[in-house]
Amino acid sequence: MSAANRQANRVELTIDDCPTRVPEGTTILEAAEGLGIEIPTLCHNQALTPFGSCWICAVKVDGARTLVPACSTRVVPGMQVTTLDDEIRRTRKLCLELLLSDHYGDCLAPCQMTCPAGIDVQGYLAHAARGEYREAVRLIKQRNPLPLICGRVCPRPCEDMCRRQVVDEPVSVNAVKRFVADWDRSSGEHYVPPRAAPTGKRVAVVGGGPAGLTCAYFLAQRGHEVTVFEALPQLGGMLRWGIPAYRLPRDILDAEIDSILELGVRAECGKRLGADFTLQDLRDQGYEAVFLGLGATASRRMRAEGEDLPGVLGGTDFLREIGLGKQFDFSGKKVTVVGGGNTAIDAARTSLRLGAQSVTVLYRRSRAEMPAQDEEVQAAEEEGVEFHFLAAPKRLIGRPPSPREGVKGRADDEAAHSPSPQPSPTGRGSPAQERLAEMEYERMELGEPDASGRRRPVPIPGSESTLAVDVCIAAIGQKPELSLLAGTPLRQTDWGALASDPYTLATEVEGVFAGGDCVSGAATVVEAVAHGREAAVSIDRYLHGRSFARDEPVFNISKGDWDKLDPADFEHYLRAPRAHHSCLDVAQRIAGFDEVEQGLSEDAMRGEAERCLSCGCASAFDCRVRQLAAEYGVDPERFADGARRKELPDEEHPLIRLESQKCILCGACVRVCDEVRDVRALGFEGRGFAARVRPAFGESLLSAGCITCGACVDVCPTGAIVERLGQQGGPFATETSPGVCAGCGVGCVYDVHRVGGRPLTVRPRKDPHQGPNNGLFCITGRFGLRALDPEQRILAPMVRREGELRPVSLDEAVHRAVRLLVDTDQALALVSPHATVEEMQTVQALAGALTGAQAGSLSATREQEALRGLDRVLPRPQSPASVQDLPGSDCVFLVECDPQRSHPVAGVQALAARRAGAQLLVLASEPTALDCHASLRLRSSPGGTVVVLAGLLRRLLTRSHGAYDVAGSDALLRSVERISSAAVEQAADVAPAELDELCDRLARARNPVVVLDTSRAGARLSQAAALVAGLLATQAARPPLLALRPAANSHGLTRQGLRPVVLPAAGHPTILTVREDVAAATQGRALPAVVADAVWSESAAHAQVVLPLPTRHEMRGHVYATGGLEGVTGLGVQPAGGEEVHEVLGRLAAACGVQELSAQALQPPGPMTARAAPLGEPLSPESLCTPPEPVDTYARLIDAWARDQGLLRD
Amino acid sequence: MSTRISVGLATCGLACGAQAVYDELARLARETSAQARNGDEVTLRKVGCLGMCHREPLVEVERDGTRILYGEVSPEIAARIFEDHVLGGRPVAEHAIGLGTDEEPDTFFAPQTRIVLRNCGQLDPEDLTEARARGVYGAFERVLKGMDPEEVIDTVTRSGLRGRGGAGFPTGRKWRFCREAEGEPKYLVCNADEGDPGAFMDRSVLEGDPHSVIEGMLIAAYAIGATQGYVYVRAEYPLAIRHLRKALDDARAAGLLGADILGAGFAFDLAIKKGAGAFVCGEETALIASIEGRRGMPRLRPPFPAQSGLWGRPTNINNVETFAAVPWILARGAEAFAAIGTDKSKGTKVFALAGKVRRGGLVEVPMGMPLREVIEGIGGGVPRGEVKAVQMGGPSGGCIPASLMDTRVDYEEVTATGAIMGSGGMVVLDESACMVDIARFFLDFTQKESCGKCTFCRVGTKRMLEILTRITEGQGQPEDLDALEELSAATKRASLCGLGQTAPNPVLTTLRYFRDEYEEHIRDKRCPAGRCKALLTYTIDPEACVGCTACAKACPVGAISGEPKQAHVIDQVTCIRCGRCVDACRFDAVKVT
Repeated sequence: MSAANRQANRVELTIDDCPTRVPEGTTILEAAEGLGIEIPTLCHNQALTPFGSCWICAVKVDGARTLVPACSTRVVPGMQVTTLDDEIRRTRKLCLELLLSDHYGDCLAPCQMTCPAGIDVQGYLAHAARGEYREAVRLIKQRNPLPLICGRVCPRPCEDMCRRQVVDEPVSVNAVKRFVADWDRSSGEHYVPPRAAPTGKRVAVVGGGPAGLTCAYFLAQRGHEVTVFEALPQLGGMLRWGIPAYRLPRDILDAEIDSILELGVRAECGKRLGADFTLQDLRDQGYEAVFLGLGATASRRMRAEGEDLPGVLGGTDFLREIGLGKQFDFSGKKVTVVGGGNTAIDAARTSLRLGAQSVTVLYRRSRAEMPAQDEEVQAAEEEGVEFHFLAAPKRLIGRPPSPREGVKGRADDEAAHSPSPQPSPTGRGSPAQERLAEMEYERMELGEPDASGRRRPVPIPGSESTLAVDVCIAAIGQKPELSLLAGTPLRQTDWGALASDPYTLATEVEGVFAGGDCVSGAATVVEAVAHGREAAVSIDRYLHGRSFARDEPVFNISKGDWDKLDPADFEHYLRAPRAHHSCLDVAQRIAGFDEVEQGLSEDAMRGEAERCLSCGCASAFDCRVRQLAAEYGVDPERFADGARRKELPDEEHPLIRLESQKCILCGACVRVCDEVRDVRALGFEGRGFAARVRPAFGESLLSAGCITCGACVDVCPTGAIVERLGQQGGPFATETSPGVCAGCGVGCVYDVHRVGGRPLTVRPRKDPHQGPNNGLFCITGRFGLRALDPEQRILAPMVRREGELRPVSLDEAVHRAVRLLVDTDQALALVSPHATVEEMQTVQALAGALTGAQAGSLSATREQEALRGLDRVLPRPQSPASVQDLPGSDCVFLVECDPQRSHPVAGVQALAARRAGAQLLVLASEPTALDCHASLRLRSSPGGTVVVLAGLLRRLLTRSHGAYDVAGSDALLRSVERISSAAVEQAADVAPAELDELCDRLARARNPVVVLDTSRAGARLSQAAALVAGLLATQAARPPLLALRPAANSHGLTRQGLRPVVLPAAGHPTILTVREDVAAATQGRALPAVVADAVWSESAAHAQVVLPLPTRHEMRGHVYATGGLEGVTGLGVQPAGGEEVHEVLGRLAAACGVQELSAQALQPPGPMTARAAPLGEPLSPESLCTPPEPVDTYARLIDAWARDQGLLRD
Repeated sequence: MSTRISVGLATCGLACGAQAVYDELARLARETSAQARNGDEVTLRKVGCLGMCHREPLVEVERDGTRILYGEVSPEIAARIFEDHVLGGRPVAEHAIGLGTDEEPDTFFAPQTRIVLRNCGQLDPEDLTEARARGVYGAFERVLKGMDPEEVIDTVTRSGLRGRGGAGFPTGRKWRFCREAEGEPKYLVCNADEGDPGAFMDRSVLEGDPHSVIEGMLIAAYAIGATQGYVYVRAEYPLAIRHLRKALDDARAAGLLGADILGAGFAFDLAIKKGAGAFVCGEETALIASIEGRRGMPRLRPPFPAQSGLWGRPTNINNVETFAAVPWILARGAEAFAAIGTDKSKGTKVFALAGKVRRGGLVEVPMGMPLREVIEGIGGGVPRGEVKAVQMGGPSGGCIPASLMDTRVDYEEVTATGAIMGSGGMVVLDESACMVDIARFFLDFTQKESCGKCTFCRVGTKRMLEILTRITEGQGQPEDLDALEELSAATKRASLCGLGQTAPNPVLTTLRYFRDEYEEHIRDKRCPAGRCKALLTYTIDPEACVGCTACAKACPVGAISGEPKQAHVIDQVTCIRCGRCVDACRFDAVKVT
């Protein structure tokens, strides 16, 4: 249909009451897109025939009996479409609920879901396993600025939920966190998060504990000016005043606090809210928002008689005073700690370290109910703490101290900073001077569960007994100390905490937020961190005048708790026991406050990280089902008790994993495999609910004919088909940099997805204007990176000494190389088409600076003949057409080439043209993969293809239309005059009718492309093909010849004038190779002296000097692909060898005498040709017969050849 | 004196042992002709379904100008019939239908109008000569010689014939669309992928009268301009395929198919495409995909097959019954056909009458006949108790309650009840049917037969089935009914093809007419029909129990205890509700509630 025609056939319709006019054949989805109306899709993919299976794009059309799928419904005149109303919304939601009811997996791993701070545990474990410690810290710090601290004291709820428990034991998640945090701290340049530009807004954080510090950290990152007000003399809150140093060494604590302060956070210590300043003061000082992280510092009372006796202490008070430097001496004392939480254990273990004779912990429930971490309890037991379970104090009994005791007791009293009345100087006489001597306690039994779910302790009547006690520490809990806030408008809850919104943490006072223990009551560090971060997000939104509502609704599905899962699903995992950290021995421990737990060794830590089962979905970051489920407020449990397909992932394919249990049967993979790739390795199987996508005939993917192009991975809207990134493959949020595939001459463009500076995976870029592939890819492009074995990398400069290559400094290697190259008068620099233009230029400059040296290419020899043929007809570079021209062509003429095999993306593009209705003409002497799609296939006898082309030229020129009756054509015609149809039949076994048909179809084509493979074509064949293209060019804008080249930068090589080199038969030049393997190419006949390459080769193994180069993913540089497309590759990836191209080759060149070879000097001289413009001189009919000596040579060649064949007689 | 014996050898007859009866009669006939007694000429032939499937095997003897139909004939009875009636001229009254105490065949056949079934059971389907003698291909010959395609389409349009596959689209209009569509060649497809469980109309026609179907297709091909046709028939119909193949060979040999049919320059040929038996392949676009060798999955229409069908060419698809009616219309005229039936539904409709009905089988009635007349008149009503409902239209259909038995059988009135005319399944349900269970049964079928493409059809029907199963197991929740309605509505509204769009019908109609039954299951954990095992309680009436121990011996799980001669007791926890105690008890002491 012509453009004018299409214009005429426009359809008017309205979508959501907006009138629009679109071309006939447009779908509702496309029409809506044109109006900027977004309709969600899952099964839809632009590259595929509309399918209409998922129904997420359901819309309403007036008068239609049912809803219709917008993706596949074509517009009709007068159509009235509604894209969203109640029914549509309900239908989409139900649709998602149904899909998810049969979608078995975890979006995010249970560890991350459990972590109060929501740390991407799976992600940082994966980083740690890969040795990317800095990245691990970066990931942790996105949610928690205190990994040094949490790595030591976190009760790690994540580990309780770890699925690894089904196999053996949970992954020691926290030990990994501690390791990477310690590594980061001692690395010399610890991780500092990026900071946004200053906003000029001031925020006051009141309370320097974990909640306040976290809030300050995230606010500072967002560019706000933050001041932390702390009542006590140092920052840290409960971290400093509640956790003993043997668990959290103070240098660690200080380091972590410093890393927050270095973001520009100011601290004002010794300032107590309510005493030293008020909220109003803060406002007056220009603070626009306030975060209250006041903590829960007041010890709860036991409510036992005698509680105020000297010798009775509060748990947190006790620990705080130690932190503040008070000296306690418990030598010879019997200490009883009441309580079962971590504070109780901390108090008990601290008492031991203060020299107590005995320490007993009294807890009213049994061990199983203790809230303290089990490992802490164990450590306390090891150290000699005794436990009395099911016992509660009833009465504390005082006794006047004996004179001897009195002296000591008074000292203790002062030290203990007891809240009891002033001791009399004599310590004798009044009851107030009594001090603690005994505790009466009663036995308990467990009754019915209480609100906390734990069984309530009930006293056993008459079970009272007594215990001799010198010091009693009541560690039965803390509560917020809010007395100084009385009279402010801040509301308190019934149980004495600050009231703030559980989601936004905003209090009822404008601009004031509150979180941490003062809101939640005494909780864990990580919970305080979570509050601090949430509050920072809310405050940031508040400061920018936005609502508190979060941008992205979250949605998550889960397989459920590990203890509910089927162990059979985990049987294939190898058992690997959990690594345990080492501890100081007990004697060392209780002698002081040294850190008890030692971290894991690097090996043990890596082993732990590798134990991670990577439960979270590989597609968590880009799953469309998940995004839509969040958007539509889906209830994932709606049909959760129904049947579902549960299959273990299919891991047979080494690079692609099928997770059928996540498949939503949209069929995009099946369709792309069939429609686009022509492979059909995947198909539907079964009926009804049991229907599924499977490799054909139940085979594994590979035996079903998979070509590993990964197109299925790209189109899967969820995580049912994913690229295998190894066991510890993230998923990670990645950064991308552009690249051009070096696999073949098509020059596909892609994005290298990097994480932590290292390439993780490669995805094709989907933009028809940016490259020839438009989202298409083949195995080489997608997985070539994987093929690059790190073992094969050349990472260090090497020099041969005493027969062996040994690593040396770059200076030394360069020096040695220069000597080799300068000391000869016949140096030869060989560079391959895998090199960038910059590398080529460097080598050329280098050769230019050496006497008698020449530069060339060995790899190009393969194409030499073909290029010579093309040279005679076409200006350079010799492929005016690009692979991009294929999809829009109406006639693709393949001349002796098989692009599906040699240049897969070109093959697929030819197929796309065919499917869009183009003619596909195949002329070849051997079968090709596209034969079955050919509209006309001519099989010439071996070597006869060139005769067919000559015959074709003759037929084209003698066609009655006179279309080719142009200047110069006469000479051409004369040269092929004698190649009659009969001659062609005799020489090439192609019938005259076939030749006629070929000629007719080509002549009728409006937009033909002639495709040639330079690695397979000889000079005459290339020349003939170029001439055919030249004749067809009278209709096209430029000679439509697509020369498929073997390497991405083959054109760059030609362009730089790096000619094929034929090694001299005699004499041994001193050879420098750049990404060339001369030894392999010559079967060892020629060996290089200096090799510069990224990977080891036969040449490198024999060289005198080896210089490391970056890979194509690492190097910055330019390449020229087929069609003269300019590509930029490898931006911003740190080369594994550590050196950029201009550093290694540039230094070599400079040492050889090349001047001014800076990075700037290496910029390529602009694009070879503008994309839309004809390349150089358009091929005029004249140019066919004029320079460079075209027709005569060609005619002579044809003549000579035809004579050889006996077709012509003198 | 000539006597003609016809044995019904369609699948229904064969299943009841008609082959042995035929073999016995053939042996006797051979011996008779060998003895050549009295010069009597005895001809024996195989015919298709005679209609009274409930009385198979059927043998019809035509002697002295009168026909007598024998039912439930065994080889022994056949020998007696041969001896007494064929040779002796004395009908065997005790086995003859309509003689003696048996019902009148008239009550079964008289209310019927047999247009589609006009030749079924009346001729040997493997004999082209006999078929032509009965006028088959006559209409086609007249069309070919004397009518232009437009006239044919006009006649069919005026006759009011609507597609008998279920949707009821006017056949003439469908043909015209295809005729007017651009593209060559055009294809004609006969949809014989009869998939409804219990339906056998198409099979019977293909088995009993294949030439009339071919004739109908020839007429359609001529009218549309189609040059190639396919009969898409399921592989489970081997006899139909055999008869059809023979008929095609014979017709081709007789110049009725091929390049130059009857020398009139009209070219058309037919091929058989065997389907693997997927219900969804009865859907036009899935059927086309299947013929093309692809997975039978429907696609969105438009484009309709008439615009872009088989291999992207204009294609017309009609059902077997539709094609079989066409020659009659061309022979008798559009008006004769239009005179039968109601305002919008003309002609007749064939039904496979089944379920709790005295006389089941293949019946053809004029459109508009009240449902009651079909069930009670032709079918003779239910054997015991009352009619509870009639399930019409197979798994895509619905249940019409007894209160609506005066519904007239035509497209509009049946659709108004929530059921559909469908392809002709008609299952009579009595009070022993649990309507939740019926809905579950049909949904189980559609659920399994979904091609799996559309979300609602694939997953939604499964979830509905699970809810229904839960209800029948006594685990239903009040909100389940809302969920069923929500899922039904969405599945109807958001599915590509008829399968999904109609799959909720059994649920919706039972919910509409028998909601109280659902509620009883959910609220009272009780199945009023006593079908849902999980909801039954078996108890022993101590008054009636004599302590014979028969029930305890029969119980497979040892749930029944008691001393001999003492009343027994069933342990409700152990009882698996298998009902064997009920069967074992000779004193009616086991009560089921």
